[in-house]
Amino acid sequence: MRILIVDDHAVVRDGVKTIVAERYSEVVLGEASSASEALELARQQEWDAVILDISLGGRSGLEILKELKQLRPKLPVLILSMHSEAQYARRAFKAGAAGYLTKDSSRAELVRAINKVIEGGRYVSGALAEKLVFDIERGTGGPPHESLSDREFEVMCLIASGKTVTEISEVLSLSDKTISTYRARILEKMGMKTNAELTYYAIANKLVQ
Amino acid sequence: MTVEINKIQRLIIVVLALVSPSAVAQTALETPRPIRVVMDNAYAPFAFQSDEGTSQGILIDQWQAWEKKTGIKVEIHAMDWGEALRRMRAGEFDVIDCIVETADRRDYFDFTPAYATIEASIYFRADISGITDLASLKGFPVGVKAGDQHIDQLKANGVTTVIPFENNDAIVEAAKQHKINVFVVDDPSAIYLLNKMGIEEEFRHSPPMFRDELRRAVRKGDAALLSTVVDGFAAIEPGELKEIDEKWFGRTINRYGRYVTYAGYAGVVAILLMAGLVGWNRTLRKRILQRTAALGESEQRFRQIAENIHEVFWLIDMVKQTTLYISPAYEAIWSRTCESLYQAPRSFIAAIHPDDRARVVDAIETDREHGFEVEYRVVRPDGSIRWIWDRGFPIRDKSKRFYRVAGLAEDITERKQAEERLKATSEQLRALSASLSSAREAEGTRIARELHDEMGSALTSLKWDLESIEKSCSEAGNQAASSNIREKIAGMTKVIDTTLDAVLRISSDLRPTILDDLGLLEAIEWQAQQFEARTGIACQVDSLVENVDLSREKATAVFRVLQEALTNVLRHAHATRVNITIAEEEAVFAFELRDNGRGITEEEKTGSRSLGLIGMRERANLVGGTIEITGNGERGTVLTLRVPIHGQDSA
Repeated sequence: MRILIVDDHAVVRDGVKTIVAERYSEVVLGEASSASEALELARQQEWDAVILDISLGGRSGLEILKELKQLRPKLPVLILSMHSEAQYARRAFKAGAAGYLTKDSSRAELVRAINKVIEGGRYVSGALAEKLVFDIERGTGGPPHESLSDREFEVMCLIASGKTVTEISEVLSLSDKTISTYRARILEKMGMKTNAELTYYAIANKLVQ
Repeated sequence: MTVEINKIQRLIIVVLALVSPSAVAQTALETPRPIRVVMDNAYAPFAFQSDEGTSQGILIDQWQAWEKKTGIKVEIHAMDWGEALRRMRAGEFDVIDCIVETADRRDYFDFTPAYATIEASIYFRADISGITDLASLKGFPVGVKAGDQHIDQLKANGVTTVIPFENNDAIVEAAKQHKINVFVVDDPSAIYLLNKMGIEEEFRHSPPMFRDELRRAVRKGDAALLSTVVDGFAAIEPGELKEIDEKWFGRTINRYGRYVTYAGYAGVVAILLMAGLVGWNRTLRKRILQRTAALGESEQRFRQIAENIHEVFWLIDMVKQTTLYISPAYEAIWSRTCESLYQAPRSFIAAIHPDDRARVVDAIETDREHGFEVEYRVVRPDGSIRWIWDRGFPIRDKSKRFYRVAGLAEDITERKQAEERLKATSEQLRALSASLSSAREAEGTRIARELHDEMGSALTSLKWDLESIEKSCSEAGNQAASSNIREKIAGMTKVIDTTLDAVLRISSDLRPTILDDLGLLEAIEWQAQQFEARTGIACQVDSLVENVDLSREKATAVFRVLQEALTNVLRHAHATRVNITIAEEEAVFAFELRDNGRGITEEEKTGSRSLGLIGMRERANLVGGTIEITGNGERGTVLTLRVPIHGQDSA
């Protein structure tokens, strides 16, 4: 078992080392306090997992995450961060993280997370999970038009009722370009390609008369 | 003048010639012892022939009066003067009249006192020059009446070429025929005859050379007759003598008097006219004086204004392209003489700073008929620069034709400099504000990071250690002791959690690291979620862009404006919903925050208490952005922030 710990704070590294060492008897722990060190170690040696702080002095941990994943696409990376904002977690997952754990988590949670990612699973700390699930629901659950914002929904209805881009821009006091952007985003979110599909959908779902 | 006098004299002669013969007294020869009186027959107005050949004149009338006084008959014999003298001397007559006393004549005659004075002059052809006195007559043949007393005086002055004539008529006749060119004759006769023969223009005369006293004379030694003659004339009333004089001279005057009367009338009219004119003139003068004074006062007032005000007044003739007026302040401001501008109106253009010249000329050319206003610099001859604010006002003549421009130029250098200083100060203030703001953000960022990472990490580590102790305790025996310790540990863990929360919150308040780590869009989204979670006001973010490439300063400005706007919504709007739209249009980042609250009022927008708005505007301003706030009454408030994506980052 080989785990690389990347954090610019020695106390955190020590803490993590203690916890990991307690849990796994035969573990090799690598330490890096900076991005370059981390990348160097990742390049030189094989690791089973990386525990990475997102806020390394200097370069953003997210950038290192991307580079790590390019270097070792299959290497699971668990983010251990002070940031409890969902935006960080989402961004981390987008960049290829296997798990996202905030530093206020308990030792037990840390151990669970490490286990989960080493096994190839995903992990999100409790409070964040709710937020992310809400996000995901908004993105995937329910009928497609519910993922639209109010303004997008308004624009969709106007398109479906046969108005041109120019007419819509006049109604909403927005530029043609903005309306075109809205249209593109609506089609993307709805997974459609033409205004006709959109119109059909809107009528079928009784969104317009 | 001479011509005028000649004309008057000629007139008199003509008048004399026309005197009616009926006025001439006929001498009655009734008394047994008449006295015989001889006299010249061609000596007007004393004695001369009428056209009918009868004698007439003053002397004739006087002798008639004498006759009446003395009762002595008088026989008048009029003839050529030479003959008269000769025959008198020969004893043919008792009395000779109209004679001048000379030394020679005293041998033969006794003379009465003078009763009249007569003048004689030298007459000469107009083409002869140099005749001014008797001496200058030397060498000229001079015509003189035979027997004339002047002959002696001419000879005494060396004039030897005296040619005697029978009478004055003969002299002038000879002169007319160019037989003589110079003659000496009594003035009345000469003028009469010259006029009569129509040659008055051909002759000139000297000033009077002779002044002769006319007397009467009797034969030498005849004292009785002399006294009779003298007494007789003395007996005649002065009034009667005067009447006679007036009759002959008066006739002259009367004849001439018609003209005199006319002249009189004319004179009266002229005088009246003159008086009128004088009156009118006086009134006019008075008025002119008043007007002149008023004008003078007006002119003075204008001058006092124009010459004492620091601004330059000017007046240009557009037709002739000339400077009509430039006030003296020009010299002080332009350091050029007014005269130089009058001489060369185009020097005005030359004085303008080269960088401003085209603009000024263009402004004047374009707007001169409607009035113009332009600011420019002038370069003084010493190279120094003054700022001028110049305004021109078109002037139209009565036919509405644009023909002049009046203007006012002001030296605004001081004002410009103050403006520049103010601008500089303002820019410095803004830069200071920006740098303060930037420094505060930087400081905030640093502290936030320290708090967040260092303290966060330390607290995390502490917490894990406590957990480790707690675990050790639960594994060890001594239930009572461990339970006590575990309780304490649980309390400490709770404090750590609370402290960690506080640290993160303080850090985030100072400067959300998300803005630096994840960018503006994520930060806005996060802020919206935070706001919604904290206030319960629904806050939706609608971004039309995937990411925004704004500089750190601009992103910070947008984020701070968002925070301030959300604070305002919470405090004032009474809204239940906030919609944020993010878009990018033509390299401008546009951020719109729309609430469904009560809508901002105009007063709130401009009021001095709207420090939040001022702060927002200032933040936007620092990064070259603009903020637009519209209150829509019941439909809420819309705040739009626009920031150019490229360029202009404050220090």
